[in-house]
Amino acid sequence: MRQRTFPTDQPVDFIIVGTGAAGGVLAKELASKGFDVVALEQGPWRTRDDFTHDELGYWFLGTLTGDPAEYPQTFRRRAQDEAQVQAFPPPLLYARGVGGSSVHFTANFWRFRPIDFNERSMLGSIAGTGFADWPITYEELEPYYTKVDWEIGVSGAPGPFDPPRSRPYPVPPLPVKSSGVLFERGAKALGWHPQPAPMAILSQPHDGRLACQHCGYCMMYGCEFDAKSSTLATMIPRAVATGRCEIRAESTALRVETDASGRATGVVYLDASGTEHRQLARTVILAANGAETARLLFLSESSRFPNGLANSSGLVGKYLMFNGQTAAFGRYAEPLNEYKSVQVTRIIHDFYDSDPRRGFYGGGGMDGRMSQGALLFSLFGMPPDAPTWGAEYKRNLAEWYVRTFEVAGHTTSLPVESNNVTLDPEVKDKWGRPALRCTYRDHPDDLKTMQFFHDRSIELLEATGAEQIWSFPVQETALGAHLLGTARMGDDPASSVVNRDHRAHDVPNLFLCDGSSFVTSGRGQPTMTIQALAFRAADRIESLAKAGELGS
Amino acid sequence: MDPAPSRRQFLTESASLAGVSWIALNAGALASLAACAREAAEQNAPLGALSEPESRTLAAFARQILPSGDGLPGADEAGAIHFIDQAVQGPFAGMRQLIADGVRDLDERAARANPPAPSFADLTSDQQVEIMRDIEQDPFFFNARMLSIMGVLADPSYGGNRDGVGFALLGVQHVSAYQPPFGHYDAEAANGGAA
Repeated sequence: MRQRTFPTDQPVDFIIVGTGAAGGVLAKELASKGFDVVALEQGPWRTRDDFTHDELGYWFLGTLTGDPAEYPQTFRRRAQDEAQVQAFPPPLLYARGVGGSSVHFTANFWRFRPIDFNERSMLGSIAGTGFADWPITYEELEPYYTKVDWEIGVSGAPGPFDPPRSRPYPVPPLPVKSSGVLFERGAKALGWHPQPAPMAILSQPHDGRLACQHCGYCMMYGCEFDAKSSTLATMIPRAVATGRCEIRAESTALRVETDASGRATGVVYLDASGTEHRQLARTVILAANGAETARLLFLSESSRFPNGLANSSGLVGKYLMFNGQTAAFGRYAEPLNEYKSVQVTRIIHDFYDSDPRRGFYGGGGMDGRMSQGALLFSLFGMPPDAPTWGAEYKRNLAEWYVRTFEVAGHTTSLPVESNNVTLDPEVKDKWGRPALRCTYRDHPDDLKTMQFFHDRSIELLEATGAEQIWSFPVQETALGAHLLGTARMGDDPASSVVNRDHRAHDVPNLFLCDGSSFVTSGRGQPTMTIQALAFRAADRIESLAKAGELGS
Repeated sequence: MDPAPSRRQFLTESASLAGVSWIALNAGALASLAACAREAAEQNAPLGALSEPESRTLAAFARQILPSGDGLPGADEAGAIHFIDQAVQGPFAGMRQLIADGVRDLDERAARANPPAPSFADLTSDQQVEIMRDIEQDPFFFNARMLSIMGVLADPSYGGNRDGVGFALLGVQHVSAYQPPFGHYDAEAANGGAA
């Protein structure tokens, strides 16, 4: 894509690190508002023609998530444990490339609800956690959710528990799959309220993009039709078309530089050949995801910021939240062919709110889908009592793969201070940066919530008339694709990293905007909220810039 | 811990990225698999294609995982052994030593079970099954089973799944786009059936 380029030694208005769900939105919004923007992306700039249906590559070999040899990560349960390299799957799962994880995500696109922002006030504190209200409300964010609906492109229809919306969905729901029909049948039999799934995948052409062709390769894949509303397909082309934005792919940020007054002056990064560059900027925005943003702050330490940049609170990297997940399976007499089309077409939110009568904190949603492709199902997805090799195994595979679907639960994770992202003291990545070290252990209420959703999933499947039902038992979470909470938003600089405008409390011209800003986890589908926050942040940053508050 | 791990070492540890739900729920098994593959890599397994005796033994192993018959393709029809041969030179190179050791173990067990047998491949099917049941919990079995199944179902560009027979085995159409109805139950609902 032809684009404007900027010299590194002249300060641009904004440098953004990351081009994913948040970075792509910020680049497009700020460039559209007339600012000069350089966006750094560590991965390559792919196009839809680069994407394939190679399950082994995308699921097992890191086609989009990166070669684990080059980007090792370590994992441990507790701070006193020695972290071990967890190569595949990495504990902090995200895609590398322009568009970031919005390229490979499943595209479930639930808005948060009012309760997600003020739950602490509604329920009270929870011992051993940093459970807190957000400094913003659903009402403040609603116009930006609507902006996401229309600018990003969301398919859906109103549901019985939806929060208020100021404008209808731009395109209707995607066609229901057999999983959706059975899910709906079971849920209704139980008196629950199934609804079409809101998805960031187009059911009809919108904004010059194609509708979904139902190829079935969404989760962990890039869309070859640009029907999935990644920022690669939506925001990036529009950012570049402004003539004010340069996307610099294969550029790995090393640190944010600051001057004697404590202001950010730019970002030092490596190009694909490993050559170091320094891009000067008037304002720095980190939108690198909840793991990479925290790492970059740690790597930007200085005598003035000895614990890492913007970390006077000591909370950078802490309160990591993954969301809990559960999976139960049902097998039927006739083919469902779940390998076709988008993962999810029906959801329920009957158990969204935390209910004190359950005796623990937590809530979530459920959907009908099939996460497992041919390899995953064949290797790991069969019922636990079924043979795993031999003639009967083969006959079962031939019968069951197309006759199975999954009820997936998506649940809250409490913010626990000891769940975090830090720098590994020994392991380095290919550029010599300290590896990401993840420490994570679910809060006991999170595990109880997962068990609750696991059990409801079994009930639902029983109500569908499945021939056989099985599940993965609830276990402690060992990795996350939702990287939330590591630079939380708040009004008090002692208990948060950024303010309600995503501005670092400690550095007036540094903004952090991605999953790291989350105060609580929501119910397991964070991307739409990340993008609504990014649209809102762009408006706030524009106001501050125009008021002269960001300095020269 | 090697601060500059080789590409080969880590790609071989890539034995098991799975659905995010699956991953989250099975990370324990994966961690042990990764540790095992890492150990294999650190022994500097030589790169290269399988030897002829190795490939005979592994092909027999793969044939037991997914046999021919029932009118459905298996490891032989898919050419799974070619996938394995390429995998241990490429993305799963760190498993090379583990596979070589496991093949040697299979052949030694075969020789003990049936002294004149020079290879696991020369045993009767029942004898092969008996030996495989004995080693089902071994890392070799886990990984060799995985490679055998991948050899049938992974994209043909990796050397197996000849002519897409793996997709046929699963009953998957395997074309690049579909239109509704997708399956029996949504077709039924669209026709006014039970919904």
